[in-house]
Amino acid sequence: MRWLDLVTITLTATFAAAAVPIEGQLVRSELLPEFEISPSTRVVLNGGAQTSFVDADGGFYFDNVDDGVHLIEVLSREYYFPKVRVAITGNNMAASMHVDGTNWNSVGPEVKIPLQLSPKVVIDPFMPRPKMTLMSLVMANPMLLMMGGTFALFFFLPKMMEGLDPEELKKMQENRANQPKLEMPDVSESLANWFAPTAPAAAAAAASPAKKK
Amino acid sequence: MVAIQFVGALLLAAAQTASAIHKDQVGQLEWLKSLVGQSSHVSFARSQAGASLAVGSVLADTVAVLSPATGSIVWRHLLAANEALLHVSRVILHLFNLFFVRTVLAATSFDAATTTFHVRTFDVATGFALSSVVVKQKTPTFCDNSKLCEKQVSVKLVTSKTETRLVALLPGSTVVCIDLADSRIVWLQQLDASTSFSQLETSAGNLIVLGNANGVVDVELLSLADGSVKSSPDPSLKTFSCYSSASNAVICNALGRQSAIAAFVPGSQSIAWISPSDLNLGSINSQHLNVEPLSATEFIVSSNVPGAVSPASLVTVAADGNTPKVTVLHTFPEPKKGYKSVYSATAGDKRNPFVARLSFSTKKGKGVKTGSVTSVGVLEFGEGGLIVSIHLDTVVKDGAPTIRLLTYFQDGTMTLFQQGKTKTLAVKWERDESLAHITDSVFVDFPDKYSLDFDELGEPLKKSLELDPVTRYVKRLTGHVGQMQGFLKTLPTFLSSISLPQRNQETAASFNKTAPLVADRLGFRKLLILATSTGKLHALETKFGHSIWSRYFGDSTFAVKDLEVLRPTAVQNAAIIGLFGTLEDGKKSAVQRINAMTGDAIGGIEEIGGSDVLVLKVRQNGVNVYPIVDTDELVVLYPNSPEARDLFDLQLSTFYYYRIKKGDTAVRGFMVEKLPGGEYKGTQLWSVDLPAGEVVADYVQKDRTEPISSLGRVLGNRSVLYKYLNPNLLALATLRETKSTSNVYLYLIDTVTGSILHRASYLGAGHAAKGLDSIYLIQVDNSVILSYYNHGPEAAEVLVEPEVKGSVDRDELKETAGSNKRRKKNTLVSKEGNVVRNTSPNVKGYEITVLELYEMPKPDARIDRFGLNFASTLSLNTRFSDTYTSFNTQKPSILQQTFVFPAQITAIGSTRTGAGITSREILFGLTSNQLYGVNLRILDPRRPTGPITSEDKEEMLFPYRATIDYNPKEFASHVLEVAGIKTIVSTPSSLESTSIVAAYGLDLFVVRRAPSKTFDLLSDDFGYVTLIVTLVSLVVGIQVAKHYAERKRVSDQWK
Repeated sequence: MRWLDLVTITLTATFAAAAVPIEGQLVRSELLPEFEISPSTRVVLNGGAQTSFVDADGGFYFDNVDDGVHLIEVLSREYYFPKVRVAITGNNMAASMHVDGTNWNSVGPEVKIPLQLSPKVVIDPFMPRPKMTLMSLVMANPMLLMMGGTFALFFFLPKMMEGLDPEELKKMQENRANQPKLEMPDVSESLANWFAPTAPAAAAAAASPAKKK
Repeated sequence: MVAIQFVGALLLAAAQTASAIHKDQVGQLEWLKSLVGQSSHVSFARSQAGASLAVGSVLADTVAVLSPATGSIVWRHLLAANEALLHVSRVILHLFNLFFVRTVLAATSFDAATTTFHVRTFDVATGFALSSVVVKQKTPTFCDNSKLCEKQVSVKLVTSKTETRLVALLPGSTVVCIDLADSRIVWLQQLDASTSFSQLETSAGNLIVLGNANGVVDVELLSLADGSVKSSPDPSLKTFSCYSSASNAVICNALGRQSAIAAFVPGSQSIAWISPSDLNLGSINSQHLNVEPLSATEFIVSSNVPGAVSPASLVTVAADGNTPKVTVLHTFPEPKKGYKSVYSATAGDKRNPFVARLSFSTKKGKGVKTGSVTSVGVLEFGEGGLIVSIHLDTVVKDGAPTIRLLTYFQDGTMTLFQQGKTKTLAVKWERDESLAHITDSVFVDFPDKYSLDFDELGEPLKKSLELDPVTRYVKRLTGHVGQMQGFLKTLPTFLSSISLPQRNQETAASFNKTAPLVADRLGFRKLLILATSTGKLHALETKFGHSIWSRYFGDSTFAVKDLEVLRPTAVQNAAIIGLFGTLEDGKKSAVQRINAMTGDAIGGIEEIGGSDVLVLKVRQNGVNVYPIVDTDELVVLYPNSPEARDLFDLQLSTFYYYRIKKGDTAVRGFMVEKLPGGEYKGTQLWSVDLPAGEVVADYVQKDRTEPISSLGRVLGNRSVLYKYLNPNLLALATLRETKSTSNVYLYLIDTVTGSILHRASYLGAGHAAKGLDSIYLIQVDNSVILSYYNHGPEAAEVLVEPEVKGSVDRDELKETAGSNKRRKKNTLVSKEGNVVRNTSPNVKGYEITVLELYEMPKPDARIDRFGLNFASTLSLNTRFSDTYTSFNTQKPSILQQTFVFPAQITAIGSTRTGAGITSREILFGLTSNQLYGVNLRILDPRRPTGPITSEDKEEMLFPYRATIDYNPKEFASHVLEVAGIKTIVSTPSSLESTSIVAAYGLDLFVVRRAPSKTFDLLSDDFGYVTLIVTLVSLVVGIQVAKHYAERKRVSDQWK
C-alpha cells in the first residue's frame, strides 16, 4: 500500500492562507420589487475566469480568490446589474461599484460586504407599439391639420361675408378694385402698344395703374 | 458641451433602436432550436415534483433536465468555455427520514488552466445551484481530456439524520467529502496517485474506493466521517471489485480467489459465498461478472463474456441473523448472442420489485428486441445509425408497470419510447441533438417559382408549344377563369387579411409541408445546410426552421468538414453542394456532391487527396474550380476536367494562396506553377515569421464576394475619403503571453506579396482567462474589428519591438496600444535604453478596436495606381481604374478607435445585404447566452472626441464615448436564451434592408435583421383600411361637392 498523503486535509488548513472566498447574494431592491431570480443567472469573476451559478436565494460563491483587485459581473438576460470591483488584501475585502470605461484604480460608491447586489433595470428588448386613436392620427399629421384649416376657411369665410352690412360689402369691393395691382407690367403688350398708332381703351385702362405707380 | 453630449446620446439611442421588434412579433422574424448536445450521462429521476430526465453532455459541456413527457428543456446550464465537464450523476436526497425526496444533479468539471475541479450540485426540479466547491488538483493526472477523465470520476451521496454529504472521487486519486448544506469541504483524502481509481461505493459508515493499480484491482476502505483509511472488511476481498446498493447490501466479485461471489450486509459479521452456478450464470471467470444494484437489497448479476450469450439473474441479499442470505428471485431468459442488456427497476423500496430488461444489438442498430418480466415486443428503428446507448426506466402507474426507453443513436438523435396502454412501445418524442455540433454551414436559395421549362399555367413548355394557337388561347382563357374563381373563393380571407394588421399573418404553424419548395417573394426563405460532427447533414428553411431534409453518412467513414456551393441555384435548377471531408479517420480527403433541395447524392464519394488538404476556389464566368493543395504543395483540381484546367491555366498568373492556422508562428504565401508534366505545384513566395513568443490567435481574410456600395466615404464638407478595399487583405491577431503579461498584436498582410501593411500592438490585451477565447477578428467593408480582454497596464509587457522577419518596415512598429482616450503620458525606458511609450489606459474589461482603412489620409486623394507594374503605366486607363494591385507599395491610411464593451464575447459576425447600401450591423454572441447587435455607425473611428462641428453633424457622426452602452432594444435574441454561440453567419434576402443571420454553437438561432430599419417595406401595421377609407371618402366627397356646386350654379343663374 502506497500512500502519498495519509493526512486528512480540511479546506481551512489548505487554502485559507492562499486565498479567500467571495460570497454574495442577488437581492430584491425597492427599485425593482418584482425581481425574481432565474436559474439561468450566473455571476462571473474577472471576465469569466470563474463562474458561479446562483442558488434559489440568489446566492453566489467564488472559492479561492487570490489577493488583488477583481471584477464581479452578473450575467442575466432579464435584469441589468451593476458591476462590482472587489479588492482583497489578506483577509480584508473592500467592494465598490465599477462603471465601464472608468479608471480601474478609481473607487466608486462603496458596496457592503457580504455583497448584496440588486438589479437596476429590467431588460425590455421590445419596442412598445404606439397606441392608435383617431385623435392621435389627426393631431400627429400636419398635412391633415392644414387640410382641416383650409376646409374651415372655405366654410366660414363666405358665412362671414354674408353677415356683413351690404354697404360695408360694397365699400370693401370698391377698395379691392382700387387697390394697386401687384402684377408686373406686361412687357409684350407694352412693346406692342409702343408702336401702335392708337392705344386701345382697354389697354390704356390696364396700363393706367402702372402709370400711376 | 453637455448639450452636445446629450444630443449625441439621443442620436446614439435613435441609431441603436433601429431594428428592435414589437412583443407581438415574437416568433415571426426568428426561430430557435434549444439543444443539450449529445448526452454522455443520462438518468431518469423521480421526485415529488414529478418525473424528469437528467442529461449531461461531455461533448457540449451542458447539464440539463428534460421533461420525459414532451422532451422539452426544463432547465439547462452551459458551462463556461474554460471548464470541461467530466461527469454528471444523479443523486437522491432523502429529507425528513426518507419521506421527502429531492433529486440532485452533481456535475464535476475541470478547469485545465488553473488545474481545479469544480463539483457543483443542482436541484433537478428548478436548476438552481445547491452547492459549489472548488478542489485544487493535487497531482497531475494522465487524463488530459474529458473523455479519459470522465471514467475517473465517481460521485455518491451520503445522508444522515443531521447532514447531507456528497463524496466525490476525482481524477488524480483525490476523494473529497462535501457538506451540501454550506458548500464546505469536510475532508479531502489524497490516495495513491499511481492507482487509477474509478469507482466509489458507500456502505454504512464506510466508503469503498475501487481502482486499478497496474492491472491489479485495488480496494481502499475509508471512513465516511473523516476520510481516514480503514482496513478492508475482509482481506480476501482486497483485490476484487464490489458493488453496493443504495445503502445496504454489498456484492463483491471474488471469483478469482474463491470461485464464488461474495455478498455481505454491512453490520453483519460474516460474508456469504455463492457459486456462479447457484445464480444460474454458468461458469465464468472474474473479469466477466457484472453486478448492477437495482434497489436496497436487489441486484442483477450477469455474465458479460464478449461474443457469448449473457445470462442474468435477479438476486436479493438480506441479513438473516448475522449471516447474509442470497436468494435468486428470477433468472432471465438468455438473449441472442452479441446482444447487450440493460436493466431497470421501479423506484421506491416499499413497492413490489419490477424489473425490465432490454436486450439490444449495437451491431445492427435496426431491430432491437425488448424483453422483460412483461414482454413488450419488438421495436423497429429507422436510419439513425448504430445505437450508442439505451436507458431504461420503469415505473408503476395505476398498479401496472410501464416502461420508458431512451435511445441514443450515432447520428445524435435521442428518442424516447413509452409503453402505451397496449403494452407496445411507441415513440413519445425525438430530439435531434446533432445540431448542437455544427461544423460548417451554407445558405442556398430556393429555386424560382417560374421556370423556363414551364408556361404560366404550370404546364411543360414543350407541350404547350405543340398546340395550335386557338387551343392555346382557349386553354389560357379557361386557366384565367379558373384562377379568377379561385381568387373569388379566397376573397373574404384576403379582405379580412388587409383589414387586420399583417403582423398576425404568418406563423410557424402555417408552414405547408406539401407546398412546392420555391423561393418566396421577399427572399426570406432560404435553405440553411448544416454539416455536423456526428455525420448528419441537415437542411432547414430559414423562415421557420422546418427541416426540409436530413442525411446521415454513418454507414461510411466519410466525415464532412467543409460545405461549398459548387453550383448556385439558377432559376429552377437546384444548387449543388460539395461536401469536402475526410475518409478513414482523416487518412484521405474526399468530396461528395449532393442536390441541395433533396439531399440526394450525385455520384459517389470521390477521393481527392491525402490527409490535411487545403480547399481553395477559383471562379470565372460563374464557373467554380477548386484547386486542392496537399501538404507537399501539389495542386489537384476538382473537377479535374480539361475545361477546368483551361480555366485554371488562364488564372494561374494571378493565383496565390497562403497557409495559416491558429497557434502558428508564421504565415506562408505561395504561387502555383505548372510543371512540364502538366501537374501544378505550389512554390513558396513569401513568409512572415512572427517575433518569438507570438502565436496566431485569430485571423480573417477579406470576403471578396462582399458587395460594396460605395468606393468612398463622403465627409461633411462634401469631399471623399476613398476606402482601401484590397481584396487580398488578411487581418491577423497574434498573442504574446508570459506568466504575468499578455499583449495582442494586429497585422494587416497582403496575401499576394506578403507585405505587412500595418502592425499595431495592444499592450495588456489577451484572453480573459486561459481557455476562455476573447480574441476575435472580423473584416467588414473597409473596417477591421478586433476584440480582446484588457488586463490593464500591469499586464502590459513593454518591449523594444522586435524586427519582424519579412517585409515589415521599422516605421510600422508603432505603439498604438489601447484607445487614445485618457491617454496617460508615462514613458518607460527599456533595458536597451530605447524610450518606449506605455499608452495603456488603466482599464480592465472587454474592448473592441475598430480600424478603418482608407487609401489616403487626405480626402479626395487616391493611391497612385501606376504601381510597380511598368506595363500598367502604358495604359492611361489604369490610373483611373478601380482595379487594385498588390504590387503597389502604398500602405493604407488607418483610423483607429477603441471602445469598452460591456459583456464577454463568444463570437463576432456581421449582417450582409444584397447591395451593401444598408449600414452594417456587427453581431456579438455573449456569454449571457444572447445575440447582441451594434450598428457599424457606433463602431466608427471617425466619431469626434472633441466638440462636435457642423461638418460632423452633416456627416451624422456621434460624439465619441469610451463605452458601448448596453441597449436592451438591440438584443437580436430578445428574451430568448441562445446558448454557446460560436459562429455567426449571414446572407442577404431579396430586400436590401434585411439580412438573414444564423448564430450557432450549442443552440441554433436564425433571425432577420434590418440595421437601417425596413425602409423598403411597408410597416406591418400600415393602415390599409385607412388608405382605402380615405380614397373612397375622397371619391364620395368629390361627387357630393360636385352635386352641390351644380345646384348652386343653377340657382345663381336663376337669380
